[in-house]
Amino acid sequence: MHISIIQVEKLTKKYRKDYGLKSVSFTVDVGEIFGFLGPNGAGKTTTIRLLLHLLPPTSGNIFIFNQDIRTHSYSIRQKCGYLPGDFSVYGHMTAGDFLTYAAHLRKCPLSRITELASRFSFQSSLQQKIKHLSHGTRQKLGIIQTFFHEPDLVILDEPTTGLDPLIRDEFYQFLREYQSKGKTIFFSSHNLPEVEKVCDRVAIIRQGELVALEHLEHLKKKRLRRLILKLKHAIEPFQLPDARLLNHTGLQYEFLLSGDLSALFKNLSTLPLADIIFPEPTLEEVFLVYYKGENDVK
Amino acid sequence: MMLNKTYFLLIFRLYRGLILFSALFVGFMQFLIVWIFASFDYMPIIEAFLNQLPQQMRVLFSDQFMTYLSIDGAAAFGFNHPLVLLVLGLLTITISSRQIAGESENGILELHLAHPLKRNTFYITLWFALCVILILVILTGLAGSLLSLTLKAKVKLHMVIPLFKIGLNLWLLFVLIMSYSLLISSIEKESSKAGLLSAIITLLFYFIFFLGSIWTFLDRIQFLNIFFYYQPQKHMFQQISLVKNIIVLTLLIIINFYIGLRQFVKRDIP
Repeated sequence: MHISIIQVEKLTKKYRKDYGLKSVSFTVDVGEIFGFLGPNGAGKTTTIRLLLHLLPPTSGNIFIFNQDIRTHSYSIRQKCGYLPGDFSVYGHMTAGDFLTYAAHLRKCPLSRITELASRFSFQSSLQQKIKHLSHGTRQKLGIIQTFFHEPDLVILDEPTTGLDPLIRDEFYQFLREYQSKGKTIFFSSHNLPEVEKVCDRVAIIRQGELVALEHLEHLKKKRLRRLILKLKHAIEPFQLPDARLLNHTGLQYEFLLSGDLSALFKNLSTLPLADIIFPEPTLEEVFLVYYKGENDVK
Repeated sequence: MMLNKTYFLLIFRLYRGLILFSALFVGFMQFLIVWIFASFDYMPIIEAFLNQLPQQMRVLFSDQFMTYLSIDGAAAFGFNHPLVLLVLGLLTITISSRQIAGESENGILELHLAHPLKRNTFYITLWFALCVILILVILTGLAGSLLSLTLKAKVKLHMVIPLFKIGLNLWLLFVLIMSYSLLISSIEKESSKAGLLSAIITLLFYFIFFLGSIWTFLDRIQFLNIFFYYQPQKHMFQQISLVKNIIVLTLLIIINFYIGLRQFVKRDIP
């Protein structure tokens, strides 16, 4: 039985002229890593700010821990950790002083800060002024301030920006461990491979509207792939199953694929192939399937 | 809890340099002004200067003016010196505009309010911290005056009480300036705009009050000016009622504080 930790009902945020969010509804279950995927300006940060009651909604409801955010935002925020997309703090403070301040604000012990600093190789930066830290190191500081009080719900907005690949992998591992403690993570990103690595379910948002809410396996099945074929020599025009020709220059063919790949590979074996490339699809290509029906793509 | 101790201490930590500079500046100015007046016998010089003036001009310098040129008057004048008012204004407007509009602009306010910190607690703590900062700076000014008077062995009880009344009046004036600066900061999204607007409003009040002394029409509407409710020299010589000033300034503070708080609680972050 799924127990929802976040319930969002027909959430709408209207600014003076535009909609930031249009009637968005979803739920996040206890203990899951919920991906919130969308391009820049899609409404991801607006949704997060509404979840934290930094912005009042125009209409709709948000319940977190079964409490209305409008009336219980203080108690909800006590159990939440938040890492903003653009993590910025007082530059002339040392990282250690900032974490101590955050710990006092949350009335939490400082012991876990040391533990997390060690985990993310941050001990040497604790005495440094924040303005002297690199973007990646500053992001580590953000991660530590988000998790040190062991919140039941963590809201992350583009958390891996600026992290080097090793620390990023360490962070993904940390998220899985954190999830295994029964904690819930709301993970906003515009990076599909990243979401695929860590999330259980994914909501896709574009232009303020929720276009999909899928388990990761379903998303993977639905997703489009690009295929580039390089032939050894010219042949008669050909077609591939579940593929649409995007581009053709000389001996190079570029296709957009969807559906089952087994039939495709049978057909590929009949071609005089010099090379096969599967480039990482862009987010736009992933979204395409949610805007046009799969039949249109074919 | 209406106040958050951690955030309160943070304000002092963030602005300790500016607070220290303002306190030392105001304290030193008070000390210096009183010291100069207590050190020289200036009356013969002024009388000689007045005797050089034509009769028509001499009447402009009334007996009241001459009374202000005493040590008591100097102690009061120190708290009305343009540089002292400028430093207090800069301190007040800088912190007010940076802590809300500025932090909203650079994203720190978003992080603050994602913590378990209620918006009204945040605003009230900031307002209260600024009140305490202003008290400390003004007390340093009073200490400067009293130190100077003591060193010159010219301190008298009849001067000390009005000095504290002036301090209280000055504090209320700047709490009012701080309250409307915070209100503007709660509406604006950029620190520079919030600071500039607060500074323009304050300077307008100041210049209109100044012009009022030479322009009869403006003099008639001075009661609408916040600086009308702070005239330290008149306090020193018991020519105006402190109670009236306290009532008017407190009322204006409450109105600005309430609107600012309402505005901050409902504003979008950032």
